[in-house]
Amino acid sequence: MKTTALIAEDEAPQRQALRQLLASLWPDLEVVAECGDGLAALAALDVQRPRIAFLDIRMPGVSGLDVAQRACQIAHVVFTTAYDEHAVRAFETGALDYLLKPITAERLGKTILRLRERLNGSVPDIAAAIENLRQSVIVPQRSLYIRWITAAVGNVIKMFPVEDILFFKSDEKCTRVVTRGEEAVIRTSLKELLEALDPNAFWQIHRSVIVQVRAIKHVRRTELGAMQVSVEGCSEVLPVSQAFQYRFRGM
Amino acid sequence: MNSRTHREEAFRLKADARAKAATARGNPAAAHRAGWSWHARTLFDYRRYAAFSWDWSWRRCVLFATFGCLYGIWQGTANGALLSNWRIGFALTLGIAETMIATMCLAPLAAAWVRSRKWPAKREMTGVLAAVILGVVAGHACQWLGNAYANRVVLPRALETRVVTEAYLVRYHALTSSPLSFVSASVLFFLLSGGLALRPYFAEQRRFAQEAREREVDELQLLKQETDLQLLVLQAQIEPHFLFNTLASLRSLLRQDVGRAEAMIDALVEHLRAAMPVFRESTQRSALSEQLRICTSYLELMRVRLPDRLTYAIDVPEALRSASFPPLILLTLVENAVKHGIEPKPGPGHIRIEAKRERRADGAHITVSVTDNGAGLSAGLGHGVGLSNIRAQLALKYGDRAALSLMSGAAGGALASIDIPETDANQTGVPG
Repeated sequence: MKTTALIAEDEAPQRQALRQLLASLWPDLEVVAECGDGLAALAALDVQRPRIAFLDIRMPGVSGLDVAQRACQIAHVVFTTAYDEHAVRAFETGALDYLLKPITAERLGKTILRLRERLNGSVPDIAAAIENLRQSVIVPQRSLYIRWITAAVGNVIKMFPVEDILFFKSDEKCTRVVTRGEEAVIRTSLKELLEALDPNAFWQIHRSVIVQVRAIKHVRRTELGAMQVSVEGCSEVLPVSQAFQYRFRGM
Repeated sequence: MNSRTHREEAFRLKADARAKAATARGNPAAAHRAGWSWHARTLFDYRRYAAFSWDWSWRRCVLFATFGCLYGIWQGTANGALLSNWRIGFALTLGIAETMIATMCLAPLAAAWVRSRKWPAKREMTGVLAAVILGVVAGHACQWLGNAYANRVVLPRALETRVVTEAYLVRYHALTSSPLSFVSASVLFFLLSGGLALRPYFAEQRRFAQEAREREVDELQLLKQETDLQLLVLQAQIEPHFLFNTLASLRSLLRQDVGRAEAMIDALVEHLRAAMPVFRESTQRSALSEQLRICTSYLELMRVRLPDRLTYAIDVPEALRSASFPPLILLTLVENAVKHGIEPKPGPGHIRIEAKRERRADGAHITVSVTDNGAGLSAGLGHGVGLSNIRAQLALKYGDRAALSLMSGAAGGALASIDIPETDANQTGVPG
């Protein structure tokens, strides 16, 4: 029986080139599926059940890593990737097979030798290694705090720079994002927001309110001793709960 | 002196404006206080103003002089009635009122005059202090005059009418000439002269110095930001991943389709020349047409790499092409459209670049938009460093007259648009 393989690569010229290269270096190999995106690759895996899967990491729809999670139970996985600092570092330490693009005949030859040896044995368990790779490929965050909030306004989704946001106010289910003249709703909780926002720029002043410090117009004490914050460009008055009043005291 | 004028203005602001400034400096407690005094607009209205400013001084004088006059009238009337001599009553009223007004008004008005001279900070502080001491001295002088009058006219009359006894008079003289009396009178005159306002005044001086330092830091930070941004623009915009993937596609195409491989090399060369500053002629000015050329070379490359998956259209009127446009901002938007719109979504996608001119109240604006029908935005939190850089770059160049907006329709796809005021094409060039 011929060894079967799957190629998942979104760029058609490269897909074709890899197939031609395989055909010349490993004539016995039968490429049973060529897929242009992750979804097609997942479908082909289940139908064709190839012994080897060449997977591009960046692919439309479902990424190569997601396909690999499934593929590693069926096939020997070989990742292909163009230069990607983080992925390459993960490859070097891990037990994963990988090909750097542009793929050369020499490098592919070595991989084929390794694959041929391994084909006699069972499929190695590389799920953990794939998970590691995922961690390193997820773009490391260059800035500490978020800069944009993407949220629905009516039936469009808009991106708001955090600098434009006056305050966040949560009720039971969602969090309102209020800017000068616009309002949106997100599902992120205040707790998550607090972790993601710059604590010097945004203060929690109430269990359900986070306010942008720069937007505060004034703080007022009511007859009953409660504090209220008014913000620039919005008529809504925000409550300050007892626990957060220290922010406005004695400076 | 510029900074002096600035200070005068800064500290004569009304309470709400000060509150705003305080919040801007991240000090809501001060904002809170200022907000409070704004609402206590009663008798102590003058306290809203910077100590020893004109506004502060004349308001305080009016308030204190009123009390001084009332006190004088009360004392004069009471004593006059007691001695059954209306002439003495009238003289006492005048004398006491005059003493009060002199001590309470002289110092603040003199201090306000000192402030209005716009001397250097140190000299001014000395001047203000001297003004307050002048108030104390004036108080003593008035008291001395008053005592002289009392000794000459009031006390003999009091003895005469048996309102006071000889023994009382002895004790009275002992009391008025004791050092304790002098000290307590000095304290009183000091307070009336606005001695208590010295503390806020000196605090304000400190605050000014601190503010000047803060402003300096802000300016430096702005400068740094500006330099960083220029550096960003100057840095190669070509990601390694993009370059290697392009080369991989190119290598594959060489055998499959020489014609397309050639087209791809042309597009790559074009793109490198446009997007890598090393290869960019320094004299080249940043016009919209130039930015569109960079985007076209990029889109052309991606179209060869993703045949059947990417189409694009550029719809920019000829008249707008020569308009000035900041460098590499548009390319970032187009790259985003490919990376986050077209690439993640299976199937064919389309990118459209449009530009239009609009007349507004503050002059003509140019809006350039990049629309795709790809994956669209998904709700959540984002770092979007590239987009933040665009925002910062626009803010630096146009202040709040430029805007960047990003949105996504219900059916997916994304629309990114940049709105900038139209400037004379010759004014802007490529930085560096």
